[in-house]
Amino acid sequence: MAPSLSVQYDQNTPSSDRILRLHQTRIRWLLLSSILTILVALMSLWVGSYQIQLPDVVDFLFQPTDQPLGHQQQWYVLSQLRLPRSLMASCIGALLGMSGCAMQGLVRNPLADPGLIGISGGAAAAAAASIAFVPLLGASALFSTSLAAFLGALLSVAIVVRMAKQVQGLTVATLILAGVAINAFSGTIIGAISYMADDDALRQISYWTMGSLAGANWQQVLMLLPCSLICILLFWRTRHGLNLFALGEQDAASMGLNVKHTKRMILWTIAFAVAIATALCGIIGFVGLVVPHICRALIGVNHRYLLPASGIVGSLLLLVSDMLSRTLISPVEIPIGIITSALGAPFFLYLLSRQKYAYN
Amino acid sequence: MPITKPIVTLSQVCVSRGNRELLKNISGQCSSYQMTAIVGENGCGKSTLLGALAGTTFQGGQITILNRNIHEWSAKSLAQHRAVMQQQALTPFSFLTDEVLLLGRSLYREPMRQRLGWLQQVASWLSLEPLLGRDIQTLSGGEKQRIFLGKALMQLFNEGSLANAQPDLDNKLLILDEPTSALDFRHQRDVMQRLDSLTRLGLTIICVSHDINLISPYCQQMWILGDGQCLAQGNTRDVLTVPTLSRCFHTQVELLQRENKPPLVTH
Repeated sequence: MAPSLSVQYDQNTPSSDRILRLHQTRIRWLLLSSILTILVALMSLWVGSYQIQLPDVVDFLFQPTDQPLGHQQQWYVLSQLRLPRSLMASCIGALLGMSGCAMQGLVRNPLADPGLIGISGGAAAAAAASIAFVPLLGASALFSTSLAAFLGALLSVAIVVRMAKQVQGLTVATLILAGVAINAFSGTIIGAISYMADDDALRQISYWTMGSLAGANWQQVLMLLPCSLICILLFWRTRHGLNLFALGEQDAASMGLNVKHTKRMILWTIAFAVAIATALCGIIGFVGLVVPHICRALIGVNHRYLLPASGIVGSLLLLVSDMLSRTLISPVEIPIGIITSALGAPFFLYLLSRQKYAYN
Repeated sequence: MPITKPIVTLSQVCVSRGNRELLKNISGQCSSYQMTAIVGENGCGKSTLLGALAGTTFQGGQITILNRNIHEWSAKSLAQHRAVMQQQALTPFSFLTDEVLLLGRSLYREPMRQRLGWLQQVASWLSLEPLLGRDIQTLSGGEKQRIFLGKALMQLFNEGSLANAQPDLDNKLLILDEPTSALDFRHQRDVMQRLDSLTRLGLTIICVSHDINLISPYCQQMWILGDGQCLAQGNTRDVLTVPTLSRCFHTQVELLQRENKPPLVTH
């Protein structure tokens, strides 16, 4: 005769203490890392090939519209060059970090990257086309390249989604395979365009694929800020869905999640976020792969904490990379994509070597 | 004597994938305060039937849960009344076992203290305490199975009911796909006994098992599936007879009678 079941519990157990303590630790971690990111952002205003004294930076921050006599150039560098650039680095870093986190949660693989589904390939192909052909029409390729990259990114996601659709909705495996196909196809297009383009266009295309924050201006930032906020809010809303997805889609569905709808929303938010980032700065690789991975080791896999952490650490990484790109061989600027790859590739190899000893 | 009422009704349910008919005209009823076992040969459609009950599309027939067509339920309220434990558990990330169990409570808006209270309850019922605080990827197959059973159970308790002496389960359905396949002898017995205690509190359990002898002492109703059809259905004692079993399994069957328990099926 099985013992009868009755509900008896006491307030404090090792398990409840553990959960509550973890929550507090994680919140504290998020606060501290936000403060660190803000400090690094402020430091990025001070660092650069044009020497500015720290007290002058502080003065500027307290009175941003004040242009002291004889220091107009300094004010220009701070307010028109460095400040928009730092803001752009923070926003783009947050978008890429959160996109990587969402992508890994969606495909249930901690080694996934938003580029997996062909976004960067499509953006690069469209940008290459714009750089090569728009000047032939007599127009400047500056604005059209950003627009082309944005549209190219979204178009490639639309194609991938169409190819991967089945009766039950998008399956992860076909999504990835379709992305591989798109990336390969984009490579062909870029190759063909590079072959036909003149030297000037060729140089611009390769520079674009290396990613850069140079030329960041207030026009771009004022457009980027609301878009980033919207993307961040949309990502935040998917935190619970991502947790449930981790245990399998069938399981998630029987727990009341609208799997089809959530998958679509996550996918398109990633598409939009990465499309904006790529349109403004070219291809910045490894951030989406490496940032969520680091955060998982520090803050755990619960997306309630992991998503904001990925955003914060993404900003931090891009701010630091930007500072390095401006100072390593100052006054020459290294494209930021090279810095993130230089930091990310060895880290990725390190992750792979650790997988050998992983339990599963 | 508690009054049982039908919780799940299937009528003429058919499932086909491509050209293959996986289930043909399955009908039946599962009631509260009862465990219904679904047994049969490999490939007979047991998991497909569970899939249909868990929400996968089916091509013909009707399924009603608590007198409402399964398609008319909202996903969230259905999930609060029906918990499913899948055969395979995916663990691609290092969740803590506590976090996995707490995910089961995510359907209810309640303070953290209540959730932790239910966590503690379910952990003690299923003897999960030694597993708490561990990384789920480091657990063995059987340990993971017990955690996922706990998570399914966590889905079923109404909010605010932690203060009641006994959980209110007579409107709830638990669907299990081979819940003891990876468990050792002792844990198999423990889990089946716990499930039995839960049926005494009103829970409706539908359990797929390939091991008739393990489940027969605990289930009141048994369905035997074969080739996508329901070959036998009824009280366990009525179904476990030599003619019925020989017909269903196409083989010689011997029954070893036991006192106070259904007979052991051997060949």
